[in-house]
Amino acid sequence: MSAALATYGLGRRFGSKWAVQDCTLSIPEGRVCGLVGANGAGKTTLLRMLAGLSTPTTGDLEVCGRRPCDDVAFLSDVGFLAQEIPLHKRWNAEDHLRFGAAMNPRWDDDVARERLTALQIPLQQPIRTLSGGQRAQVALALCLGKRPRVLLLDEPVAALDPLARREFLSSLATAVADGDLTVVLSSHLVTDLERICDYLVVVAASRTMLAADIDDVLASHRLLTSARRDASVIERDHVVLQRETTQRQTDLWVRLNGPVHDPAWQVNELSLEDIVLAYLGSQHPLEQKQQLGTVAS
Amino acid sequence: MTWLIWRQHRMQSAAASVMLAAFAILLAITGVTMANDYHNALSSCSQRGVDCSGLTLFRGDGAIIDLVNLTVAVPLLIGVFWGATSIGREYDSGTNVLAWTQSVSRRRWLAAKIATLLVTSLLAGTALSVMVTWWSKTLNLYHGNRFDPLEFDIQGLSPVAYTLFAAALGLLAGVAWRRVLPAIATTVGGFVAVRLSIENWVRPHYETAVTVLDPTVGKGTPNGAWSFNTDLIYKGQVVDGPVRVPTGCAGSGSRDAMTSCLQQHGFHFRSTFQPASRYWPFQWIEAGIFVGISAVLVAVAVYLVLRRDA
Amino acid sequence: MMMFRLAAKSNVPPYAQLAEQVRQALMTGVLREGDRLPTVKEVVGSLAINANTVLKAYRELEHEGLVEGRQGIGTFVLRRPDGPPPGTHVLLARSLATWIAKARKAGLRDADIESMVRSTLTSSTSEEATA
Repeated sequence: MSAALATYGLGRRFGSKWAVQDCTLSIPEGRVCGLVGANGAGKTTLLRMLAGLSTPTTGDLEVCGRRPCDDVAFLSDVGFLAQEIPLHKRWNAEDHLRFGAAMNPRWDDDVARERLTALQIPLQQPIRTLSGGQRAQVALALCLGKRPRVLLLDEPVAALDPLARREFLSSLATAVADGDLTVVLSSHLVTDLERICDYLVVVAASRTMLAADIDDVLASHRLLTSARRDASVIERDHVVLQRETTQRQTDLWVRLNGPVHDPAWQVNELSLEDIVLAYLGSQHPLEQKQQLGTVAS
Repeated sequence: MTWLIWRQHRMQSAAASVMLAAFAILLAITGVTMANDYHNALSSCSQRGVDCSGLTLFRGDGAIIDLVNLTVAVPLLIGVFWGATSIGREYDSGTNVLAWTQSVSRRRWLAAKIATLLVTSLLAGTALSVMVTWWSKTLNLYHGNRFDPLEFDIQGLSPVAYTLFAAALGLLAGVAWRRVLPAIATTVGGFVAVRLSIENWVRPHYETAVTVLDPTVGKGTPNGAWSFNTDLIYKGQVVDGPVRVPTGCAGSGSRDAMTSCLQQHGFHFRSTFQPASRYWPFQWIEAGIFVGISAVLVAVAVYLVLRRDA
Repeated sequence: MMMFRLAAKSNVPPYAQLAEQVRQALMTGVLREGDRLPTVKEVVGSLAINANTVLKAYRELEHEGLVEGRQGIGTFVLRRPDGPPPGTHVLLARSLATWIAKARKAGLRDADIESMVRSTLTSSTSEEATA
C-alpha cells in the first residue's frame, strides 16, 4: 500500500521555538489517522504543513506523492478543515455550495447537497444563525464535495456537544466508507479518535512519539506489574515508556519487542488511552529511540 | 473565482453606484444653475460697464460648496471600506484559509482580489473626479483658485491618485495586521500623514516658485496661480506689522492708484507663487508620486500574502 | 433489521463485539437464514466507527461459515451457529430472569450475581475438562 502522506525529518520553527521537530511519518492510503497530543504539541502546525498552508523550515513532505505547492493539481487533492471552522458568516449554506462549485473543478454538488439535506440543515439561513454542529457539517460537506484524496481536519469536534460530535464523526465515517479517502484528524482527546481511527500518531512537545496501526499498538503495548523488582532485563529487551515504583510494587508501561519470559511479571492489556498517556507522560530520552515510530508488528 | 468576487462585492458595488448616482444628480443640477448664474452676472455687469471683478456670487450655495469640498475625504473612505477590508477581513475571519484550501491557487486568488480592488477604486475615483471637476469649472473661473490646496486635491487627477493610494494602503494594512480594526486605524493615520506631508512640504517644490517684484499694477498675484506669499518691502527690508501710509497717498482713489503711489514712496511688493500654467504639470507629478507609492504598497502586500504562512 | 451497539468501556475489541452481536441475533432468531446484514456504510454511519472494524467482524463470521459476502450486494446469513434453537434461548432467558429476581430478593447485589455467574462458569468448565 502506498503512502498517502509521508514526511521526512519535517520541522517548523517560529522564531526560536520549534513547533514541529524531526517528524518522519508514513501514513498508508485509506487510513483514518488520529493525530493526538496536548494543545500546543504541534498538531495544527503539522496539519497546516501537509495542507500547504505553512512552509517547512527543515525536512520534506509528500501528499499523494507530491510536495505541497500552490497549484490546482495539489489543491484539488487535499481538503482541509481548520479548527475555527471558517465560513462566511453572512452567507448561507447554499452560497457555500455555489462557492464550492466555483472554486473546485472536481466539485460534486450531489454529494455535498445530499449530505446537508439528509441532516436537515436549512440551506437558505445565514450561517451565523446555525448551531456549531450544523456549521461543522456545512464545512465538512464543503470539504467532501471537492472530492479530495486526502482530508485533513484540525480538532473538528473540539467545540461540539456530544450529539453533534457523534453526528459529525458518523458523517465522516460514512464518507470514508464510500472509499478512496485518507483522513487525518487531530484531537487532544483519545476517546474522540478511538472509534473512528485505525491509525494513530502521537505528538508531544513538537516531537512524534508514535505512529502505527491501532491494532498493532493495542497488540504490542502492555502493563507489566510485579512485586518490587529490578527492571533492567525488561528495559534491555523492550521499550519502557513509563515506570511507577512504590515500596511494594513496580509498574512498567512497555512496548514489547517479543514475549515476556519472566513469569514474575504480570502482563495486562492497556486501553488505547492509557497507552497514549504513557507516551505523553514519558520524559525519557528514549524519545529518540521512538523517532521512526513504526511499531514492530 | 468570478462568482466569488461578485458575491463578495455585490453589496458594496450597489451602494457605491447609488451614492455616486445621487451625487451626480445633485452636482448636475447645482452645476448647471451656478454656471448660468455666473454667465448672467458677467454679461449684465459688462453691459453696465461696471468693474466685474467686484462681483459677489453664490452666497446661497454654501451647502453644496461645502459638500463638494468634503469629497476630499472620499479617497480615504474608499481606502478604509474597500482597501482595509479587502484581504484584512479574510484573514480576520479565517476565510482566507477557506479560500486557499479549495482548488484555486493563492496566486490566482490574490490577483483577482487586487485587480478588483484597484479597478473599482480607479473607477470610483475617476467618476468622482470627473463630476467634481466639471462642477467646479464655474467656481474656478470665479475665484481663480483651482491651484489652491483644497481645490487641487478634489479636481483633476488628484482624487484618482489618492483613491488608488488609499486603497493600496488599506490593502497592505489589512495584510500586515491580519485584522480589520488595526488596519483601518493604520490606513487613516498613514493616509492623513502622507497626504499632509506631501501637500505642505513637497508639492510647493515640484518646481522652483516664481518670485516677482512689483508685479503689474492691479494684478497682484496672477489669476489662477498658487500664491505662497506677498511681501511688502521698504528700503530692502520686509515690512512686518502695520504700515504708516505716507500722507501723500492717503487720498488715492482706487487700489491701483494707491499701489503706484506707495511704489513712488519706496514701497515695493514681492510675490512668490506658482504660475497657473504649471497646474497640470503639478497634477501629473503629484499623481505620479501617489501612483508610485501605491505600486510599492501593493508589491509589499503581494509579497507578504504569498510568502507568509496562511 | 438488527441494530448494533458498542459498549464504550469494554475489554472486548469492537469488531469482536459486533461479531458476537450477530451470533446472538442468529441464536435468538432476530436474524434468519437469507437475511442481509446491515451494510458497512450503515453500521459505520450509525456507530461512528472505522469501516475496517465492520469488515473485520464480517470476515470473521464469514470464516466461521455463518455469513457470505456477495460483491456489490451485501453480506447474507448462511446458517445459524451451532447451539440450541431460538425457543430454548427464550425459555432459558425466562428462567434466568426468575433466578435473578430470587437472588436480588435474597439480598445479592448485581456485582455479586455477576461474580457468582463467572466463578460458576469457570469451575464448571474445569469440571467438564477433568470429567
